[in-house]
Amino acid sequence: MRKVLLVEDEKILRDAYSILLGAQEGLDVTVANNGQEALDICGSDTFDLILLDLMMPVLNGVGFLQEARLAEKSPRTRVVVMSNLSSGEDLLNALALGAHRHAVKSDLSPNEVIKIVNEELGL
Amino acid sequence: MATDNRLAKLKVGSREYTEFSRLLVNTIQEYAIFLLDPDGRIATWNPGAQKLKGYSPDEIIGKHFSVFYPTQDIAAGKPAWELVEARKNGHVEDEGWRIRKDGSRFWANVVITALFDDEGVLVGFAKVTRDLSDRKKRDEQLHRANQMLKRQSMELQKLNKSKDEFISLASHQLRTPASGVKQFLGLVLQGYAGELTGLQREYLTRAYESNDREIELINDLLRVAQVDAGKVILKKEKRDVGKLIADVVNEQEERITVKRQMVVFDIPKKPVVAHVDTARFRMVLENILDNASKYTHDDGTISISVWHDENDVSVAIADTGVGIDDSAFSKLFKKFSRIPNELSEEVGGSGLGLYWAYRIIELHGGTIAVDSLPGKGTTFTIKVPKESQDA
Repeated sequence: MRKVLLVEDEKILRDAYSILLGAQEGLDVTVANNGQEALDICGSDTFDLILLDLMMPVLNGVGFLQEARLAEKSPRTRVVVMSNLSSGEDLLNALALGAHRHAVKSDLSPNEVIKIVNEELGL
Repeated sequence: MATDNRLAKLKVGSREYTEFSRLLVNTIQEYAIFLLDPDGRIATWNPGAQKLKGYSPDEIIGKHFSVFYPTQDIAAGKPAWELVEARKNGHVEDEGWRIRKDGSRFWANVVITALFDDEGVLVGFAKVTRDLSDRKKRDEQLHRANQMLKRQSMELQKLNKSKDEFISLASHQLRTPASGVKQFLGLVLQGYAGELTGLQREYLTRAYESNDREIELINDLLRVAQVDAGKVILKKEKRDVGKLIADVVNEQEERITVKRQMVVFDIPKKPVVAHVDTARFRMVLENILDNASKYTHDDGTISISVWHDENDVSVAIADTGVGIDDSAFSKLFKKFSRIPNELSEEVGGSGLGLYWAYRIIELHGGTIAVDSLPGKGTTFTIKVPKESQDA
């Protein structure tokens, strides 16, 4: 089983991605509503892949990456920034802080999301 | 000449010249022209001075000329300083406030000239004063108008910037619900909610595609807002334009194949290299190729040529489509301009693509030209410099 952490504050997208990922065999999915929850979860668990939204309340995507220090604490975790921002400081900061890939949510159909997940997990 | 002969007698010091000078001083009403003694006391007066300052000769002759100055100027020693300057340099010119007899003030232009006798002894000063109040008022009005225009300009710039920021923010926000629709409709269409009947699949597909068009519009809005806000920085690389357009055609295959349109290439075998922002330049080519296909009927032809001269590389995309009327040319590259023609209803589109394409090519230092004949077809020619213009 590969462990995937979904971090997304918008309910409709959180539900859609949960349904999608939950229907895939071999994936164990955990869901966080914002960067702070994700940070708390990562305190006691490691993941193979994190799907990370950027614009979230309490602690946003960039804040999560800064605090989580995944490069030191779990270097094998792949991070895909799933954001509806197509450019800007936040995106550049996320990539600089160790995100491996960026995808614009509104560009992706469910199949395309799964394609990215499979590529990152080497499946 | 005759004139010279007559004037030859009117030399300085002659009786005639003295008469002439007296005439000038006594009839001129627009200038105060009078003499001061070496200490600055008023020795003569003229009608101009009376008109300007309000004093009659009896009231003013013998008084010190500093009476015309505002109190702060007197306290600062200005009148005395002017006499010193006039002695030193021969004359002094000044502009400033002066006070009339009734206490009102006017903006004056003053020239004080020192007068010396043959032995070089100071015999007094000649003072000429002009009322420039009108001019000063006009200057102040101009200055105020100028300040107001500057403020308005800054306001407009701020508004323009916040307009672009608003469009950017709104576009990002709009993407969320659109993403939600895309996901859930996609889940159903991709089999995650059970089998679909033919009709269910058809209707849901139309909804899915409509939502995708909305997402395209949002993306277009965002791109345009960014280019308008001056936030686009081109990442230029040397690319073979011939290969780029060939790649773009390959990727656009779908619509072209469905419409059974033929694509004809006229591209040199050797690479034709230009300095372009690959991603954006490709999008411009996609845009124009897309239009060529959209606005051409089934079985039509699209011809693509690439050539170069010393400085530039050109790409022409010609179709055998519905064409564009002359009258529509000027609106073609404007935002949200969609020209109605027999195919435009089927086609859809934001009307922003060509505006964006134009701005991007402009940023490259290039041009986009259009040539068209309604009913026969349209050719778009994109020209970009081979070498980057900036350092």
